[in-house]
Amino acid sequence: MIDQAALPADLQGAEAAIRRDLARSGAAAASTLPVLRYLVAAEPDNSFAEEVLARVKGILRDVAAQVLDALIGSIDRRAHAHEEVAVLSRAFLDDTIVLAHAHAVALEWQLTERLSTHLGLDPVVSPFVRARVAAGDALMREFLTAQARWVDRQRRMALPLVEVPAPVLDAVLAIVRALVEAEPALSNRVAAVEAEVRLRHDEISNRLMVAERVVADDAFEATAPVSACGVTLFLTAFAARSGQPRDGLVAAMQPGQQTRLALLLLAAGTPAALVDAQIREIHGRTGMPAVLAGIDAMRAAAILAQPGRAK
Amino acid sequence: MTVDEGTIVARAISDGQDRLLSADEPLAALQLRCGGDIPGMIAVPELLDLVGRARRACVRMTQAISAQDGNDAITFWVEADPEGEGCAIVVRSWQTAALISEDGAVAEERRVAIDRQIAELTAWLDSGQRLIAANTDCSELAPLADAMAQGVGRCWTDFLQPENVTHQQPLHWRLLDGGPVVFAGSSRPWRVSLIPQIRPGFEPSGFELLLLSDQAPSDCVAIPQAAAPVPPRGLVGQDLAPVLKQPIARIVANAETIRTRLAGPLPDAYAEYAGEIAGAGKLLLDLLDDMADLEVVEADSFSTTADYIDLSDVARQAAGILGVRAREKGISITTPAPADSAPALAEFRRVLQVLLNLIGNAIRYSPEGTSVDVRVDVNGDRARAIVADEGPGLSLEEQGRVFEKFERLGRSGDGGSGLGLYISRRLARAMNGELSIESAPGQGARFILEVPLDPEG
Repeated sequence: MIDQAALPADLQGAEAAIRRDLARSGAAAASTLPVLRYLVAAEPDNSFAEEVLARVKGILRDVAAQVLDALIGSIDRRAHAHEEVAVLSRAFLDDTIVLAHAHAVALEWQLTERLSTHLGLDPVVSPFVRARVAAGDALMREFLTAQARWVDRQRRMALPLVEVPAPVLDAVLAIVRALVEAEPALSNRVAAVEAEVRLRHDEISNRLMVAERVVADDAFEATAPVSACGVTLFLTAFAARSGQPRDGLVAAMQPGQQTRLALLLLAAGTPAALVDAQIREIHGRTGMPAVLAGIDAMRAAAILAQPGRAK
Repeated sequence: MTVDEGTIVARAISDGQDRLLSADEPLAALQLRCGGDIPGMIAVPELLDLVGRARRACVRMTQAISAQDGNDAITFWVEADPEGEGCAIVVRSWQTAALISEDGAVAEERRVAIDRQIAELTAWLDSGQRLIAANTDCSELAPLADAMAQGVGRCWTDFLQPENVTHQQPLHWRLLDGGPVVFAGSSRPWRVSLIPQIRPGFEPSGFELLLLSDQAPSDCVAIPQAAAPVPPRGLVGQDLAPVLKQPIARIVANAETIRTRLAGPLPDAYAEYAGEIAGAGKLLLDLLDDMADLEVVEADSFSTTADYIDLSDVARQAAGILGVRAREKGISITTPAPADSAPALAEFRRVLQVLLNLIGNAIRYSPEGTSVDVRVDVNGDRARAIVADEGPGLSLEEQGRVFEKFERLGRSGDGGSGLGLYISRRLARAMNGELSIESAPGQGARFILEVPLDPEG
């Protein structure tokens, strides 16, 4: 139905297809050594851990299945042909925006699970959330529902389109449009599907939106540690304070990124003592790298902005 | 013209939807133990994958398949050859090894992961088991989830009534975990799984409640099933065994949890008692399997087919299947040389079942480091397979009793049910053959399976 590898019209086309294929495999071969070097040297639980890769794959396949649901009906998800899901997920894999978000989601979930094991931090009901809900906070009730839904989905390696940020949704829809262009019957359908998906996306406040409203609320303490407010709210608050993209901050919370994380926290105006405590919470053994003592917010921001030049 | 096909353990046929239409033993038994039917969708995941790929690509594919049937880890070699709409499946080199039982914590983690995967409703509870949030994807459960969302702060048992529990709710969560529940709006059987959020040293700060059912929702698209012939039914094997297996498996699992101190520290003596409970439960499960077999062979309608087989082949396969178990005890099995031939007219899977039982007994009751000798010969119009061990041997009086139902010869605690030899002799006689013993105390035992000779073989 959606077939990227349609038969080339002539020999020239075939040759072009072969060249493209060769270029792709050449690029893959060229990056083998750097990737291998990274993997061998990496600490366990790193951002290329098997679990994370499996999750990224699962998430991309889930998004593909949702698109197919919308295009050809969701009565029986198992009925989607292997090949169709594969073509779509490969197209998503080739897109930087979609892939980066899927990776960030997988990393955020990995962090959530890690802290749940190490700190006993409930993935849904953090101490802050529990206290606010007990106090009858309506906004927090909304957050709780959204977070519970998200956790449920993550356990199944699913990422509902309603949960993705708008730029990611745009990227997904653009890919789908480009893929079905060749198929007139589907082209007509895709416009309707797009409208429907966007409508549903706008209708509900997804987890990220509710989290933004929660951290903007007066009841939320901006520098609250992750053990108090939970991973979701911590990241959203951190993004709001630092002005950095949330997905990038998830990556900075990975093992081996302590220096970057410390600089980001300092640059966001977190007192040095708090930075040390927060890094210890996230990474267990190690705290703030000692070399960073005495660096203030301005200096941290400057180093982050021009890592090559600053001394 | 004959082509050397090597040793084939079993053959099977699948159709265009990867359903197993027919299968020889031991593949057929594995399919059933993995929860499948014949005919029915292939229930061994790796095999399903292989057959599906071979069928779609229209190419013959070969691969080693590993599977588990609940007791054993099984490895076998499969060739899937596209034929018609489906595949012809050939199985070679069947190896079983006792399943390495997972450490309690790992097993528990896996159980939780599976429960979360199949849960149709998830709710979050506070430390007093009061509702905080609820979430479902299932349209059937949407009203329940809505009601739960309205009833935040109330105890979850107000919405999901634990069956057979009249005690003032909520009970301690461990007593409610895994129990059946009922609620208005669904007639499916449901149970709950409670996962505590624990900080070591503290009472649980909250719980995750999973609502699970072993029955698929009605709006789930049914997989088209080929009409299956209704097999004759027996009470224990067909009706009682499936019902009993689940609670017994639960007893075993809980006893294992206690034994491995998963639920908290415990004096050694109690952990040992729990180990004994688990061991007894496992015996009970094996016994149920044997009872099911017993019912089949005792049924009036039981009959066997006459295949052209060579006892020598079957003996080598049986020895191969039990090779791992024998090596674990340091017992060597001598099998008939390929040149030895004993062509016979008997049902392949039944002969294999008898030989597996005989060789399995020999391994079980022989001292470590001894050998078990399997030979075949032809005696008049009979083909014979002889399994000889170097075990303690049996007195004449014991030989008279050993084929009786539930006869254990005073043994206990070794995993036997006392049904194996009884079933084996019934099988031998059903094939117009006989199963007999020659032994003397201290001299080991020789079990002799006789079946009709294939005069043209």
